Amino acid sequence: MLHDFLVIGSGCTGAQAAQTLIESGGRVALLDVGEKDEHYAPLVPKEDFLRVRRTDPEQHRYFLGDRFEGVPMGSAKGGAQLTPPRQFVTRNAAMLAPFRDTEFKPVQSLARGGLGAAWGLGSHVFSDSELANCGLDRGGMFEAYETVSRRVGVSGARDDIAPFSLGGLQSLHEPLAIDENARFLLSAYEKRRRRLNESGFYLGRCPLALLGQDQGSREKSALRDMEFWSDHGRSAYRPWITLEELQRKPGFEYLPGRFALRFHETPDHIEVTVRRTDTGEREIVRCRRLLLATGALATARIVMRSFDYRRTRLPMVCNPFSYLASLNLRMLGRAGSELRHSLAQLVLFYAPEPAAPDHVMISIFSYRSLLLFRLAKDFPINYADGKEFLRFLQSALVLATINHADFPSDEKFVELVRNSEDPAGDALEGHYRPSAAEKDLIERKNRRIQRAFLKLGCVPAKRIDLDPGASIHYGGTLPFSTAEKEFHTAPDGRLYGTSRVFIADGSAFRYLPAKGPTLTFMAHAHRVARHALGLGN
Amino acid sequence: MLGLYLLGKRPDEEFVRRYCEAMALGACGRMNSWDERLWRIGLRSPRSMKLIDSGLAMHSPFSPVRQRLLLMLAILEASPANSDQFLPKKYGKLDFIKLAGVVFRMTLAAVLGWLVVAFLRFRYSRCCTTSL
Ligand SMILES: Cc1cc2nc3c(=O)[nH]c(=O)nc-3n(C[C@H](O)[C@H](O)[C@H](O)COP(=O)(O)OP(=O)(O)OC[C@H]3O[C@@H](n4cnc5c(N)ncnc54)[C@H](O)[C@@H]3O)c2cc1C
Repeated sequence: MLHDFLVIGSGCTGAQAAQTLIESGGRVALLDVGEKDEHYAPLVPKEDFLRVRRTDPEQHRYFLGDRFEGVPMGSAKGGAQLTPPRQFVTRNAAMLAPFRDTEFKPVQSLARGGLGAAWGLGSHVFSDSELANCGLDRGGMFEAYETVSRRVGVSGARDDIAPFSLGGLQSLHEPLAIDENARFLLSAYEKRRRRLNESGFYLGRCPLALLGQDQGSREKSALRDMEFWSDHGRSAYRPWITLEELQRKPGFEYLPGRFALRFHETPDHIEVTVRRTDTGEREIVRCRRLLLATGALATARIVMRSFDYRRTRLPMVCNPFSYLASLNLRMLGRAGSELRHSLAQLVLFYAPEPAAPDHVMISIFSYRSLLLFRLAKDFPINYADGKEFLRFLQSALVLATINHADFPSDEKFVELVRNSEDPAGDALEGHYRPSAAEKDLIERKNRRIQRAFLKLGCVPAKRIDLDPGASIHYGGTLPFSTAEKEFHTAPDGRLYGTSRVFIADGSAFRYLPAKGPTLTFMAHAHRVARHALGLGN
Repeated sequence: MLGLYLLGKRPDEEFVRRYCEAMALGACGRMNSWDERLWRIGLRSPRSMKLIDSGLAMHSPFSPVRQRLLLMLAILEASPANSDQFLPKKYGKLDFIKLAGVVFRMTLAAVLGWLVVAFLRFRYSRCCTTSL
């Protein structure tokens, strides 16, 4: 069988690309490995966190996991918020798509819905200069942002961070209520706004792909504070929601259980070699046009193999990432809001020169639904008293994730190392060594951010700079280029050296601003799908 | 003993069973002879466990001994029976006084624990070199 369009990957980008193709009348097959959770989802009640904690005798099964996989034993790592019901997201990735152990520690997914089955929903529009740095033009992206935000449902407020996060985005749901902790921070900001703005800090509500109003079969968020554990009401956007909708449409076919190895282009079609995950057999899937949406790292593997390892080293960008824990003194002794969501309540931008492309984005969370024991592990105090002490502190805790922009350099790359013992005959290795000047700049910015927290009435307690790869934002492996060059991507998403293979994920983004990139990845995927259809912008 | 140390009361049979089940599944790292020595000392009483835990929290926060304590803490927390000991609450004046006591005990335990673990480490390394 010859498919008109074959999309590989059902993550945020694959799902959006497939939807665009189907809506334009294309006949589409979507192929992925399709790991999913059928074990924990039915166990989690559709109740709010406090009720679950007080009443469900079975809670240990999903909070800790039936194999206690939810009790993390080492130091903080990227993807630490992957709770037992979310751990299917990374299942089998280390086996089928091995990554050698180096300083670069990525999180990869072979799941139905990809990393998007667990993403934190932070949705940000890139500015014109950020798009230009990535290699994209504003014109085409404008409509794409609107289309994608309408589909996924983004809630947000037109406040001080709107110029950084929302651009001119029109399709926006009402912002969701923020919790007491965040309200205190926002009021402290409002009192010192002028001084903070002068030093480059802007605070506002975090735009989230979490519904602020009902949308189709999806419900407005009921603020149950269970987003790390379940997807009840489908209020949070997960790519598998799109996949399920597409499966009901004529012209769409889903091919799970297939791991793509390489493609080969013939004069009139493309042959994709896949390995079936049930039988281990190789299979050829044929299509007229191929869209790769397996994420920047997996796509790099497939392309390097498909070009017969002519190049085995490709560039890569990934946002440097830290956690910062601080205490909001005005919250001490309070119980905090009962109803709230678990995701970023606020976002702080550090933009000393608003027009420059090297802002820092700090997403601000309150702590509760990940339970106290996870917190206790990272404090140098005994567990018996620590439990009492952290219980007191927890509603005052402000957890921030700090993302810095990332530019390519010769010291940031992935390399495909051939090894017959690996299932696909090779393994990827990541190298990420920022220059001393880059490290120094990041450190200086982090210190200024810590000082800004003090001005907001929060006392910074601990900062953890995570290993490279921990931000889970990857791009730049097949960068955009206007000149035809192998292992580069044309502005319309076509992979140079092919005539009908398109790169729909973040692989072509040769720069990553300090923002959650996924909304932009999805908008780009929509645009690439239109190009693949021959519709252009 | 672990429940007594962490919650101040004997835990129900159910929690002990869950802990044993987790240990059988290999939820914690393996102990070497040094860890085992500390573990045995800790198991003598909740007080000695507090000293060992406090000391390790600074010397080796992710040691297999602390991993076992963390595991039990997680098991105790994830149950409606103990939820009121873990969920956030509004603190009154009396609670603040109690909390000041906790902070005092915690600091004292940290200083003593640090010294105790450092001393035990010194003795252990001497005894290892002598036996060589
Ligand atoms: C915990 C967490 C929080 C996050 N929070 C945010 C946030 O707040 N904001 C933000 O912008 N981003 C966030 N991200 C990052 C975001 O999830 C990713 O940027 C986004 O999901 C990438 O989508 P993708 O479609 O490009 O790739 P992926 O999600 O990686 O999807 C890849 C797809 O391809 C399939 N696949 C891979 N290899 C193969 C193969 N060889 N053969 C067949 N199929 C294959 C997989 O099964 C999967 O379906 C977060 C991620 C995580 C894990």
